[in-house]
Amino acid sequence: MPSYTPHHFEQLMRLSLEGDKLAYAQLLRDTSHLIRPYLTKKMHQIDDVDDLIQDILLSVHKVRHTYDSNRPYIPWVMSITKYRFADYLRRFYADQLHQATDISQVENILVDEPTTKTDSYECLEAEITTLPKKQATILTMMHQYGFTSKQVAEKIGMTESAVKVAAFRAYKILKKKWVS
Amino acid sequence: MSIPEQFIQNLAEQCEPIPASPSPLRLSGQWLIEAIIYIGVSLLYLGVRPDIKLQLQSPSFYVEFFLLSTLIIMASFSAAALSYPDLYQRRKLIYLPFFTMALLVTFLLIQWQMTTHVTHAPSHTWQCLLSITLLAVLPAGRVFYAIRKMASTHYRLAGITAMLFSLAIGSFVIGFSELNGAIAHAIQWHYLPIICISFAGLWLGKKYLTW
Repeated sequence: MPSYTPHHFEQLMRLSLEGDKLAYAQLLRDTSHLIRPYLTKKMHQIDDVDDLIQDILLSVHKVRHTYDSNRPYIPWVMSITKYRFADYLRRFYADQLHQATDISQVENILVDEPTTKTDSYECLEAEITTLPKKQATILTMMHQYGFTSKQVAEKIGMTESAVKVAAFRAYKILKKKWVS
Repeated sequence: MSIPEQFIQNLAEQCEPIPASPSPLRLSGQWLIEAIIYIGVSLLYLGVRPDIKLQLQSPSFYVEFFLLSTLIIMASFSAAALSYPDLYQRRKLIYLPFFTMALLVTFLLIQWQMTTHVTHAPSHTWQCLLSITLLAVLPAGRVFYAIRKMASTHYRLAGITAMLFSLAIGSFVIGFSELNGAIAHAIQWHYLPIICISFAGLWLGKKYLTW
């Protein structure tokens, strides 16, 4: 950052408020040099720094009547910078949310769904046939044909809880066999 | 990377001499003069409480209205400072109205604890709050409009302070026009609700004071 004489900015701003166009252009240039390191350090998207500096310079232009020439310039311009930076962050994170990709748009290109079991019914079919007949029927109906325990209970004339208990016992047997 | 020279030149071309804004002291002074006129006109319309002579002999009445006046002054200065992007580099002073409000409520609570005999307890309740709110509409509009013309970077705080200023004016008018001898009524229907309503300034500030 270039070094400035004491009251450099205050003098330029005083002249600018009196309508000196050259002083004002110089003030805007120097202000952009002043705030650039602050923003570069804070922002991850370096491409946005120039846009934000332009936004800040526009704000300085818009509210320059609120500057009191008897007071230091840097705290005044830094307040505007921080305000616009907070605005930028709000917009940035709002955009991030809007641009977030819905999972349904990318599910076709995903390798596998992490929650899906890799062991399908076909893998277990041979093991299921070794189970007692009732348990085998229940697991076949539930996993091959996709019936719920309630529908299975209705079809084979058992209570729903009896179906659940039988299925649970069958799972236990299968688990034992797989582990061993 | 740098800012395009054309952009700077375009802004510089629009540079015309502009008068600087008044200092917060001057701005708040202007609001206070308008507030005094508004209080005077409101009291002319609503009338002064019949027991005013008796109240003027009571030190607690003086303390209450001294604190309320201080709150109006502090809130006006704070709102004026908050209308500058850098708070006019008077950061510590902007919290003074909240301190004054706390002092006022504490004083009233102590008074309430010490009171043994209540005279002229008003029968009405929410009507006071409604009157205070209605009386605050005009000053609030005026202050919000003035802050909007500036550039507040603390718009929520500016909103609360502007609300506190205008509601304190409403309380001042009602305090001088309503026949009330019950501190509990003043706490319950004048001061605590205005603290709650002031928080609407958070929303109003965000809606009307952003730029």
